[in-house]
Amino acid sequence: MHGWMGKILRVNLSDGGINEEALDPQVARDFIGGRGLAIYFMLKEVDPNCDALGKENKLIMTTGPLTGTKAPTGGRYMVTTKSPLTNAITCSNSGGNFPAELKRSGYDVIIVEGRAAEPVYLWIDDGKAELRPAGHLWGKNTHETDDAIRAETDNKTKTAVIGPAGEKLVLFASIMNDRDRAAGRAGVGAVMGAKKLKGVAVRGTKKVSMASEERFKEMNQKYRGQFKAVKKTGPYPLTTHGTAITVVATQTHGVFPTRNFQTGQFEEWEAIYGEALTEKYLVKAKPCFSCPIACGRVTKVPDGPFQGEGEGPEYETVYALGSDVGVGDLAALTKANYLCNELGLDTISMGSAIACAMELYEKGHLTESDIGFPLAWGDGEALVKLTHQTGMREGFGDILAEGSLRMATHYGHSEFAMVSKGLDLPGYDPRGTQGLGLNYATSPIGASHMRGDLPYCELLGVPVKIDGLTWDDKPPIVVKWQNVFSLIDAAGLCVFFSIRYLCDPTLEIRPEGIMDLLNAATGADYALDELEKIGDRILNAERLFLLRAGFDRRQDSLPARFTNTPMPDGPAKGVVCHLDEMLEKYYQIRGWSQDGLPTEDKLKDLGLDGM
Amino acid sequence: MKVHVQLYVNLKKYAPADDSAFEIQLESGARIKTLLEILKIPSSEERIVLVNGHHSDDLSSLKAGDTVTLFSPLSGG
Repeated sequence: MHGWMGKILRVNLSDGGINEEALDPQVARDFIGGRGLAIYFMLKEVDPNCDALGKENKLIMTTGPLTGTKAPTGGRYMVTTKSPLTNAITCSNSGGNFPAELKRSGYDVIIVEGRAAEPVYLWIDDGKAELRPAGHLWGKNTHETDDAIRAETDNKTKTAVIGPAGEKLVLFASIMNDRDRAAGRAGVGAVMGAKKLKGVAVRGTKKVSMASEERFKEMNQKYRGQFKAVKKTGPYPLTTHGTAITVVATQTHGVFPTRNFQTGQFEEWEAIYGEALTEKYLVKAKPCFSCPIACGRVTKVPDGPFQGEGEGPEYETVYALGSDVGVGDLAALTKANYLCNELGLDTISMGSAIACAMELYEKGHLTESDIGFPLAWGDGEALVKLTHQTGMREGFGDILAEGSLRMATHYGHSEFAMVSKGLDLPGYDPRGTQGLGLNYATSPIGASHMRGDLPYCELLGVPVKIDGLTWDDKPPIVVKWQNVFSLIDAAGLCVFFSIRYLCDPTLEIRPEGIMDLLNAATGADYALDELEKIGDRILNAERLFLLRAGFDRRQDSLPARFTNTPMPDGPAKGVVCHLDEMLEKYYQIRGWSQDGLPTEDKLKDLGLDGM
Repeated sequence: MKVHVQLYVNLKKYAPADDSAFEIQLESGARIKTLLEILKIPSSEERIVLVNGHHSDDLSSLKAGDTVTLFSPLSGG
């Protein structure tokens, strides 16, 4: 095979069995990789009603045909499992260098099953895999673990590991690769911890075979050239300031979630956005594998109570650990970000849980005696303290570790949990980004911005700018974008490059560049229609898992704050998210019943009728 | 009439003075395109245009007291 390595590594932690299997070429063609191959194996092998933290659940790591190649941003992988936070399917994407190394160690797919009796880590050395004891690593943070594994394997080893949060089953624990890149969402780290798997370490020096080296080089130069041409016209904001520059767009549109989404504008935004970060704490920009953008931030808070160094914050973190908790102290939120990376926590759900606790406290449903100290909006010291407590499950952190929805329900006020399907909302208020509201409600993993990210067009002007306040026009765009985003995640690419340079610059975002690169790499001769259908297939396959896990239309929802309470001020003042109106049309376009079930004809058309 | 202007990211360099948030005097009913001409923002400079935080374009008319926000397209969050 070209593009694919053609191999699956299956690791059974219960009996220590490690086996190689061949990747079926037809399955590879139909599901591509990443999210696609992962949901194929999840549907085939995992009972959607299993205990997410039990030995029946599996943890699947997948690369795509373009992972580990010279394709621009060809450095992504996906971690897929049943989520302990939401009980839905989850797949969490990450970049860095680990994904390319994993692919080049010889595998497209790693399936981890069962549960080890004692802590272990998986060491894959260029196609030779073994389980090694990890008792001595248990309790170490992600950086210490990476250091220790590299010291006992090879200094060039790349790791994806959990910290104390994953070990202690914090329900939104992340898997951190390359120390500071996160497969963050919905508790993939807790699943790893429940399996007593401390991490996966890889060395990979194999070459990814190309169907046509010449054609691949030509296409690579073509699409990189388009990026270079734009970069020549002026500083590229993502490179200069990182993703935190996005605050400009959310704040000015009035959708920058502030104090648990009570409003959409944060008065201290200029203290925490990308330019402030560049000016105060940026050490250098850091690219992931094969990425020409380099939006990653190596930063250092040189002195003061929040002194530290590491990577971040990204936009989502600036929202979650900044405006959403009312913190305008960039040092405090950056320190909390460092702690999340080291302890292995999703910054979005961490911030969202603390924001929820702050609102419960403000409204008198949570008291100082519950927490151990006062919890006012904007308290950076409390933010850092609670982040640490959560990662270690100490004090009130043990409650926060259950996530915002379980915590708010425990205190009798689930309405203050800003979640969809149990997953905390990213940093865009859906009252001013109506299409994203539909994205949140219909994303198979719960509220994710990475399942057809409408803010690109509703806020950021990529590929074109449209009005975020309208809703009638959004369902067909959301369907189209969700399908293309599934494809990006399957190919092994990053959305940041793909959406702007590998898709046609209209709302149709036809993935011409992805097709060119995939065809040159794999020789599969995909047509555009076929690729778009694969995106559709992946999303529908994820929907099937979700339905079998007991979800239905009722969970395609948003908190009442967005659908019933008009935005109190700012540019979106007086607006609610018109979710119900959009859902009806969305189901029709998807070929689903009004109960949100894919019809038999639809499943047959996608080749999912037998699954 | 007076309107408020806020320039961000790569558009900051077109501010007439140091402050990238400023007031400017325009003829009553002026359109965004007139403002862009006055600020010498070339058509090749990609930008997002908001008036009072709302989606707008070069042909939108302005009223006294409006706030015009201009920033570069961004591609990631």
